[in-house]
Amino acid sequence: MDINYARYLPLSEATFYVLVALDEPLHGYAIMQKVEAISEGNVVIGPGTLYGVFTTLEKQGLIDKVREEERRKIYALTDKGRQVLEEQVRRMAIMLRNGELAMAHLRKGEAE
Amino acid sequence: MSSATVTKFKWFWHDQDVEQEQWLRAMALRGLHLKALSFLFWTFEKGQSADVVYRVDFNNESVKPAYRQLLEDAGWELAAVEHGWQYWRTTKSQGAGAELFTDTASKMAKFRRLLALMIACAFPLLLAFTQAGKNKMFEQLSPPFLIFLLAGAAVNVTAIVRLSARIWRMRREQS
Repeated sequence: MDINYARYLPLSEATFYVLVALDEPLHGYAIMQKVEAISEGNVVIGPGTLYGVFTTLEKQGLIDKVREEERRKIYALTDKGRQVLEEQVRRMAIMLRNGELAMAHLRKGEAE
Repeated sequence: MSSATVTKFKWFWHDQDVEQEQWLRAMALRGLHLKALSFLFWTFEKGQSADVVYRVDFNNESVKPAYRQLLEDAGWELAAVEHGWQYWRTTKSQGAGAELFTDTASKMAKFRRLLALMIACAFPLLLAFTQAGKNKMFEQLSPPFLIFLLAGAAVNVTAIVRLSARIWRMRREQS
Protein backbone atom coordinates (compact mmCIF):
# COMPACT_ATOMS: atom_id res chain seq x y z
CA MET A 1 0.00 0.00 0.00
CA ASP A 2 1.42 3.36 -1.03
CA ILE A 3 0.81 6.06 1.56
CA ASN A 4 0.74 9.73 0.63
CA TYR A 5 2.70 10.86 3.69
CA ALA A 6 2.23 14.54 2.88
CA ARG A 7 -1.41 14.10 3.97
CA TYR A 8 -0.40 13.20 7.53
CA LEU A 9 3.03 14.70 8.16
CA PRO A 10 4.34 16.50 10.02
CA LEU A 11 2.34 15.26 13.00
CA SER A 12 1.54 17.76 15.74
CA GLU A 13 3.35 17.11 19.00
CA ALA A 14 0.13 15.87 20.63
CA THR A 15 -0.76 13.55 17.73
CA PHE A 16 2.81 12.23 17.58
CA TYR A 17 2.72 11.32 21.26
CA VAL A 18 -0.68 9.65 20.98
CA LEU A 19 0.67 7.39 18.22
CA VAL A 20 3.85 6.70 20.21
CA ALA A 21 1.82 5.85 23.32
CA LEU A 22 -0.13 3.36 21.22
CA ASP A 23 2.81 0.98 20.85
CA GLU A 24 0.44 -1.10 22.98
CA PRO A 25 -3.38 -0.97 22.98
CA LEU A 26 -4.61 1.57 25.54
CA HIS A 27 -7.71 3.52 26.57
CA GLY A 28 -7.93 7.31 26.64
CA TYR A 29 -6.94 8.13 30.19
CA ALA A 30 -4.03 5.66 30.11
CA ILE A 31 -2.80 7.46 26.98
CA MET A 32 -3.05 10.85 28.74
CA GLN A 33 -0.97 9.59 31.65
CA LYS A 34 1.57 7.82 29.46
CA VAL A 35 2.07 10.86 27.21
CA GLU A 36 2.67 13.13 30.19
CA ALA A 37 5.16 10.66 31.66
CA ILE A 38 7.20 9.80 28.55
CA SER A 39 7.32 13.42 27.36
CA GLU A 40 8.73 14.30 30.79
CA GLY A 41 5.81 16.62 31.42
CA ASN A 42 6.34 18.60 28.22
CA VAL A 43 3.15 17.42 26.55
CA VAL A 44 -0.11 17.37 28.48
CA ILE A 45 -3.23 16.58 26.48
CA GLY A 46 -6.62 17.56 27.92
CA PRO A 47 -9.35 14.90 27.69
CA GLY A 48 -11.51 17.04 25.38
CA THR A 49 -8.64 17.59 22.98
CA LEU A 50 -7.67 13.92 23.13
CA TYR A 51 -11.18 12.82 22.17
CA GLY A 52 -10.96 15.05 19.10
CA VAL A 53 -7.55 13.57 18.23
CA PHE A 54 -9.09 10.05 18.42
CA THR A 55 -11.90 11.05 16.08
CA THR A 56 -9.45 12.48 13.54
CA LEU A 57 -6.98 9.59 13.73
CA GLU A 58 -9.79 7.03 13.44
CA LYS A 59 -11.16 8.81 10.37
CA GLN A 60 -7.67 8.85 8.85
CA GLY A 61 -7.34 5.13 9.57
CA LEU A 62 -4.21 5.56 11.67
CA ILE A 63 -5.75 4.07 14.80
CA ASP A 64 -8.56 1.62 15.42
CA LYS A 65 -10.85 0.78 18.29
CA VAL A 66 -9.97 -2.81 19.21
CA ARG A 67 -12.43 -3.31 22.03
CA GLU A 68 -14.47 -1.60 24.70
CA GLU A 69 -14.19 -2.14 28.45
CA GLU A 70 -16.87 -0.56 30.61
CA ARG A 71 -17.50 2.34 28.20
CA ARG A 72 -13.73 2.83 27.74
CA LYS A 73 -12.62 2.54 24.13
CA ILE A 74 -9.31 0.73 23.73
CA TYR A 75 -7.33 1.94 20.73
CA ALA A 76 -4.45 0.43 18.80
CA LEU A 77 -2.28 1.53 15.88
CA THR A 78 -3.27 0.26 12.45
CA ASP A 79 -0.64 -0.84 9.91
CA LYS A 80 -1.04 2.52 8.23
CA GLY A 81 -0.62 4.29 11.57
CA ARG A 82 2.58 2.38 12.24
CA GLN A 83 3.96 3.30 8.80
CA VAL A 84 3.10 6.99 9.22
CA LEU A 85 4.77 7.01 12.63
CA GLU A 86 7.83 5.27 11.19
CA GLU A 87 8.14 7.88 8.44
CA GLN A 88 7.74 10.68 10.98
CA VAL A 89 10.49 9.19 13.16
CA ARG A 90 12.77 8.79 10.13
CA ARG A 91 12.35 12.48 9.28
CA MET A 92 12.80 13.52 12.91
CA ALA A 93 16.08 11.60 13.12
CA ILE A 94 17.38 13.66 10.17
CA MET A 95 16.09 16.85 11.81
CA LEU A 96 17.80 15.97 15.08
CA ARG A 97 21.10 15.20 13.32
CA ASN A 98 21.00 18.50 11.48
CA GLY A 99 20.04 20.41 14.60
CA GLU A 100 22.92 18.92 16.56
CA LEU A 101 25.38 19.68 13.74
CA ALA A 102 24.21 23.29 13.63
CA MET A 103 24.47 23.67 17.41
CA ALA A 104 27.98 22.20 17.42
CA HIS A 105 28.96 24.61 14.63
CA LEU A 106 27.52 27.57 16.53
CA ARG A 107 29.29 26.59 19.73
CA LYS A 108 32.60 26.27 17.87
CA GLY A 109 32.08 29.78 16.45
CA GLU A 110 31.51 31.13 19.95
CA ALA A 111 34.64 29.48 21.31
CA GLU A 112 36.88 31.09 18.69
CA MET B 1 -32.48 15.10 49.18
CA SER B 2 -32.79 17.48 52.07
CA SER B 3 -29.99 19.82 51.01
CA ALA B 4 -31.09 23.33 50.25
CA THR B 5 -30.75 24.90 46.85
CA VAL B 6 -30.40 28.46 45.64
CA THR B 7 -31.51 29.67 42.23
CA LYS B 8 -29.98 32.67 40.51
CA PHE B 9 -30.85 34.45 37.31
CA LYS B 10 -27.86 35.41 35.21
CA TRP B 11 -27.15 36.16 31.58
CA PHE B 12 -23.88 35.49 29.78
CA TRP B 13 -22.98 36.11 26.16
CA HIS B 14 -22.13 33.05 24.10
CA ASP B 15 -18.42 33.86 23.99
CA GLN B 16 -18.15 34.48 27.74
CA ASP B 17 -16.91 31.06 28.78
CA VAL B 18 -14.14 32.44 30.99
CA GLU B 19 -16.61 34.75 32.75
CA GLN B 20 -18.97 31.83 33.41
CA GLU B 21 -16.14 29.68 34.70
CA GLN B 22 -14.91 32.40 37.06
CA TRP B 23 -18.39 33.08 38.36
CA LEU B 24 -19.07 29.37 39.01
CA ARG B 25 -15.73 29.01 40.77
CA ALA B 26 -16.48 32.02 42.97
CA MET B 27 -19.88 30.51 43.82
CA ALA B 28 -18.22 27.19 44.76
CA LEU B 29 -15.86 29.07 47.07
CA ARG B 30 -18.99 30.39 48.78
CA GLY B 31 -20.27 26.82 49.09
CA LEU B 32 -22.70 27.00 46.18
CA HIS B 33 -22.24 24.15 43.72
CA LEU B 34 -23.91 24.11 40.33
CA LYS B 35 -26.66 21.52 40.19
CA ALA B 36 -28.73 22.46 37.19
CA LEU B 37 -29.20 25.14 34.59
CA SER B 38 -32.51 25.92 32.98
CA PHE B 39 -32.49 28.73 30.42
CA LEU B 40 -30.98 31.58 32.47
CA PHE B 41 -31.80 30.13 35.88
CA TRP B 42 -28.85 28.59 37.66
CA THR B 43 -29.57 26.23 40.55
CA PHE B 44 -26.90 25.68 43.15
CA GLU B 45 -26.69 23.19 45.95
CA LYS B 46 -25.60 24.57 49.30
CA GLY B 47 -22.60 22.79 50.73
CA GLN B 48 -19.02 23.16 51.89
CA SER B 49 -16.85 25.85 50.43
CA ALA B 50 -14.46 24.30 47.90
CA ASP B 51 -12.03 25.36 45.23
CA VAL B 52 -13.66 23.86 42.17
CA VAL B 53 -12.55 24.60 38.62
CA TYR B 54 -15.37 24.77 36.06
CA ARG B 55 -15.02 24.42 32.31
CA VAL B 56 -17.78 25.24 29.86
CA ASP B 57 -18.15 23.41 26.58
CA PHE B 58 -20.75 23.57 23.87
CA ASN B 59 -21.78 20.75 21.57
CA ASN B 60 -25.00 20.08 19.68
CA GLU B 61 -24.43 16.39 20.16
CA SER B 62 -25.40 14.83 23.47
CA VAL B 63 -22.61 13.73 25.81
CA LYS B 64 -21.53 10.31 24.54
CA PRO B 65 -20.89 7.60 27.18
CA ALA B 66 -17.28 7.05 26.02
CA TYR B 67 -16.61 10.80 26.15
CA ARG B 68 -18.11 11.10 29.60
CA GLN B 69 -16.08 8.11 30.78
CA LEU B 70 -12.82 9.61 29.50
CA LEU B 71 -13.47 12.92 31.24
CA GLU B 72 -14.52 11.18 34.46
CA ASP B 73 -11.32 9.08 34.36
CA ALA B 74 -9.40 12.35 34.05
CA GLY B 75 -11.11 13.69 37.18
CA TRP B 76 -14.01 15.68 35.70
CA GLU B 77 -17.65 15.60 36.69
CA LEU B 78 -20.52 16.77 34.54
CA ALA B 79 -22.34 19.27 36.76
CA ALA B 80 -25.06 20.37 34.34
CA VAL B 81 -26.16 20.19 30.71
CA GLU B 82 -28.50 22.68 29.08
CA HIS B 83 -29.27 23.00 25.36
CA GLY B 84 -25.84 21.81 24.27
CA TRP B 85 -23.98 23.67 27.03
CA GLN B 86 -21.91 21.32 29.19
CA TYR B 87 -20.59 22.37 32.58
CA TRP B 88 -17.70 20.23 33.73
CA ARG B 89 -15.94 20.62 37.06
CA THR B 90 -12.89 19.26 38.78
CA THR B 91 -11.17 19.71 42.11
CA LYS B 92 -7.80 19.16 40.43
CA SER B 93 -5.30 21.90 41.04
CA GLN B 94 -4.19 24.52 38.53
CA GLY B 95 -2.22 23.95 35.36
CA ALA B 96 -2.86 21.71 32.41
CA GLY B 97 -4.70 19.19 34.60
CA ALA B 98 -7.46 21.77 34.91
CA GLU B 99 -8.12 22.04 31.17
CA LEU B 100 -10.42 20.04 28.90
CA PHE B 101 -8.83 21.49 25.80
CA THR B 102 -5.10 22.00 25.45
CA ASP B 103 -4.66 23.26 21.89
CA THR B 104 -6.00 26.25 20.00
CA ALA B 105 -7.79 24.19 17.37
CA SER B 106 -9.94 22.30 19.87
CA LYS B 107 -10.51 25.45 21.95
CA MET B 108 -11.68 27.28 18.85
CA ALA B 109 -13.96 24.42 17.74
CA LYS B 110 -16.39 25.24 20.55
CA PHE B 111 -16.87 28.80 19.30
CA ARG B 112 -17.17 27.61 15.70
CA ARG B 113 -20.01 25.29 16.70
CA LEU B 114 -21.74 28.15 18.53
CA LEU B 115 -21.26 30.52 15.61
CA ALA B 116 -22.70 27.96 13.19
CA LEU B 117 -25.76 27.61 15.44
CA MET B 118 -26.23 31.38 15.75
CA ILE B 119 -26.00 31.80 11.98
CA ALA B 120 -28.53 28.99 11.53
CA CYS B 121 -30.85 30.83 13.95
CA ALA B 122 -30.47 34.04 11.95
CA PHE B 123 -32.30 32.62 8.91
CA PRO B 124 -35.77 32.12 10.43
CA LEU B 125 -35.45 35.53 12.10
CA LEU B 126 -34.51 37.17 8.82
CA LEU B 127 -37.39 35.39 7.12
CA ALA B 128 -39.83 36.55 9.78
CA PHE B 129 -38.71 40.16 9.36
CA THR B 130 -38.79 40.21 5.57
CA GLN B 131 -42.20 38.54 5.47
CA ALA B 132 -43.61 40.88 8.08
CA GLY B 133 -42.13 43.88 6.25
CA LYS B 134 -43.45 42.81 2.86
CA ASN B 135 -46.97 42.25 4.14
CA LYS B 136 -46.96 45.44 6.23
CA MET B 137 -47.62 43.33 9.28
CA PHE B 138 -45.55 45.30 11.74
CA GLU B 139 -48.51 47.55 12.65
CA GLN B 140 -50.66 44.48 13.25
CA LEU B 141 -48.21 42.69 15.50
CA SER B 142 -48.80 43.12 19.19
CA PRO B 143 -46.13 45.32 20.80
CA PRO B 144 -44.96 42.61 23.24
CA PHE B 145 -44.45 40.17 20.39
CA LEU B 146 -42.68 42.78 18.31
CA ILE B 147 -40.36 43.59 21.21
CA PHE B 148 -39.69 39.88 21.69
CA LEU B 149 -38.83 39.49 18.02
CA LEU B 150 -36.57 42.56 18.01
CA ALA B 151 -34.81 41.47 21.20
CA GLY B 152 -34.23 38.03 19.72
CA ALA B 153 -32.74 39.55 16.59
CA ALA B 154 -30.53 41.90 18.63
CA VAL B 155 -29.20 39.04 20.76
CA ASN B 156 -28.61 36.93 17.66
CA VAL B 157 -26.67 39.63 15.80
CA THR B 158 -24.64 40.57 18.90
CA ALA B 159 -23.78 36.92 19.53
CA ILE B 160 -22.59 36.49 15.93
CA VAL B 161 -20.41 39.59 16.15
CA ARG B 162 -18.96 38.65 19.54
CA LEU B 163 -18.26 35.03 18.57
CA SER B 164 -16.64 36.09 15.29
CA ALA B 165 -14.42 38.56 17.16
CA ARG B 166 -13.43 35.87 19.65
CA ILE B 167 -12.53 33.35 16.92
CA TRP B 168 -10.61 36.03 15.03
CA ARG B 169 -8.66 36.96 18.17
CA MET B 170 -7.80 33.33 18.90
CA ARG B 171 -6.61 32.81 15.34
CA ARG B 172 -4.41 35.90 15.51
CA GLU B 173 -2.87 34.83 18.82
CA GLN B 174 -2.12 31.42 17.34
CA SER B 175 -0.10 32.73 14.37
